[in-house]
Amino acid sequence: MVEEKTKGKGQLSSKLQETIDSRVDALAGKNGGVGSMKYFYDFAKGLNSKRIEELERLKGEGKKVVGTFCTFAPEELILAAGAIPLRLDAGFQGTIAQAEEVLPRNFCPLIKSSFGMAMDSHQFYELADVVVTPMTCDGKKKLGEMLSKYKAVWSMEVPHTTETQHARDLWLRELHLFAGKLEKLTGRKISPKKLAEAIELVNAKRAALRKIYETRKEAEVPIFGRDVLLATSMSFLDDSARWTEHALKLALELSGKKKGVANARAPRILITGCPVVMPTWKVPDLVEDSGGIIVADEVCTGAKALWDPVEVEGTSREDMLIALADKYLMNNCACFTPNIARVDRLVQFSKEFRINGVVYNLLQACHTYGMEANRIEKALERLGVPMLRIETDYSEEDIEQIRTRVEAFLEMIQEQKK
Amino acid sequence: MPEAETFWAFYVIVFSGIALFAAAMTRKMLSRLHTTRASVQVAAMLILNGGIFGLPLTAVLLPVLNCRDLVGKYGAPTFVCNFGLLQRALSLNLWMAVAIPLLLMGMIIAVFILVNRSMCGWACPVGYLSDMFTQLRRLVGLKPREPKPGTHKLLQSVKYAGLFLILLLAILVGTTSYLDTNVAAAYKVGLPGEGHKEPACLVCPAPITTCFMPDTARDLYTGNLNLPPLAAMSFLIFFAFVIGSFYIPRFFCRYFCYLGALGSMFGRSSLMSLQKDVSKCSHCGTCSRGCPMKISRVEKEKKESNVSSSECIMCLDCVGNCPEKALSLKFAGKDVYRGASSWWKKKQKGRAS
Repeated sequence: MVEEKTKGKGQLSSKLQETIDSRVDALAGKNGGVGSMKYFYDFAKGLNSKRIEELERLKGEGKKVVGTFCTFAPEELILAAGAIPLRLDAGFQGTIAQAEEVLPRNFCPLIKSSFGMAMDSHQFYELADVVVTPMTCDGKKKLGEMLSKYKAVWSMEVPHTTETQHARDLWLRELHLFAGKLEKLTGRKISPKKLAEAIELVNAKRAALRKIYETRKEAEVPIFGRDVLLATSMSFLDDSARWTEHALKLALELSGKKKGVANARAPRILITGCPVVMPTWKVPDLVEDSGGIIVADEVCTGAKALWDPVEVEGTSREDMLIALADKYLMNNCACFTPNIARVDRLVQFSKEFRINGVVYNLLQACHTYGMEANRIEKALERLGVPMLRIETDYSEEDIEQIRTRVEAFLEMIQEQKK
Repeated sequence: MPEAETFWAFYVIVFSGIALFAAAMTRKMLSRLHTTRASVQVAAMLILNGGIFGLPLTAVLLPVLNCRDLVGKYGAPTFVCNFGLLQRALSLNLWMAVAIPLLLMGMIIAVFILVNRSMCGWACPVGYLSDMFTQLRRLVGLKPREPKPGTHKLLQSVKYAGLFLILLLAILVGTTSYLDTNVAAAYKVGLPGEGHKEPACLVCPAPITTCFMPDTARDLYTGNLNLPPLAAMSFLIFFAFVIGSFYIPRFFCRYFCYLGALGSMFGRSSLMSLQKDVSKCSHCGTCSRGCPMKISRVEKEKKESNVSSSECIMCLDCVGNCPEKALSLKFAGKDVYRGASSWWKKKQKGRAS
């Protein structure tokens, strides 16, 4: 078996951490003096050491770890069952080569990288008692199947549309099943009280994100978008309450900051499309190095996952599950068809954050986001907002090529602004 | 004049309602808006039925279902709802005095045009009782049983058909009895019971709740049981009302209230309306989930800012709950209510996991 042969012993973790460290250090060196970011930098740098030790300690105390992909497995349910959610989407080029021995080459780098991590027995996979994969795009659908060779996998059946009642009913049913499985795993009942607390905890996280984003609406943008993206990415790996505490500190610092990190006339950019996963920070980094400022995003590692709250009407477990089901169908995943709400959200963000240009981050062979790019470009055109489509992967070969295109795009916006 | 004992008997309903809401409040099941509305409903219940305390408040004629008109027990003129009077005026020999029905109709329409159907949500005793049953179900912890969307739509139109039939019947009886007094007599005899002869009163839950129940409670207390000859149909309808309201919020109001149906016709031309800032709406569905009338338009609307619906009873739950503060209540061109601050600006109780 190919899989068995190439299954490593986590030798790539140190290389992964080195890459993360160098990226984070680079970010910290040019962050415009935002002191509260230090926590998030340190957390990212401790992912393969401090966080793993912490998780091991918690596991020693009897806690279960639930690995998740995408933004479909409700964190609230995992927390209410007394388990720890840990997002496993990977952005590391280093594990792709060995994944390609099993997976097709012309395929999504995120899937390949994540699968490579499992093959390499990365600590996160070792820690996870179960891995939850959503049946969204083809990659994620089959990833669950492939991963089941290494781990216990729960695949969640995500409907293909959010428009019909039976799709919504199916999703609610899935959440019921998910809650049941979690209860069985942890041996703890998800009571309405616990679930209400968990919802409040995760809503607090979302509220903190909104507070940070509110400060980015100012003409003098107090923080770089790449830093915000790093902070939001870490929210899926960190303890919710601790992350919220530090995010609120960051929001407080930002709201008191008078001077922006970039020139007040710098093009205001929104980044959308495929997830931006550490350590591949290529696209946001290039945009902001070239003189743009990212003031908002619509990616699964940022606002897409955390923008909307869970609003419960009622006090029963059923009421809460209904509210959760509704909220988790609101992430405008490109796997939904039709996905009109995503266009609406982008139009809303473009107006609210006074966007000058949109950068569409497209990972290699991502059909769903690729197919939607055209419609979004047209909708933005009507608002007078130009869009730059960047198709890339996790390698560093195309950096200079992308830089040239980004620079030309920003220059064009500057010309228009005059 | 009513006997003094009626006092406490009436309290049975009012205070059991207050107790229910209090229980719900202590369990943090009610928002501030809910509490305010419940208080207004209780106050309205007391004011509308002030007659049983001997207060001269029978002139309070709002388009709500409230009834104190049982076989002239309290002497004439009795307390009756606006719609009851309208029917009586139409069906009695007063038909030639067209002015009275027109005046009564005018009063109903004037209130609807002024404040839309907010009387349904904030003052109607039957609405208040419906809310009580919903509260009771939530306290017990049972799930609501919502009908399927198709059935819901179909049932919604029942009330319009009912309104049409009721008015038609009243007018027909009125006209014919003007021509032939025997018809009027036959009509009176033909219907069971002594008191409620008006077609709508026969299918209304109010006579039982605001006349029969407090009266019987009082009679049991004084040991002088004097059961009013109510129609058996009224009991059946009331039974259906109780069961229906327990499982479906505002069951009667949604599907059968003929008075609400009348109000619905003036909703769009009312001075009071529900507004939505379409650009702020995230279509999260919070409004739909909390709506007692099960209106989906407030969530679904993408273009028009006026999201008033003919079914809306202006309870304002959606406005108070909207996480994006996209909804507001507009009166005479001005925003008068927009709920508390945005969800993410509120102080969150973050707890360590």
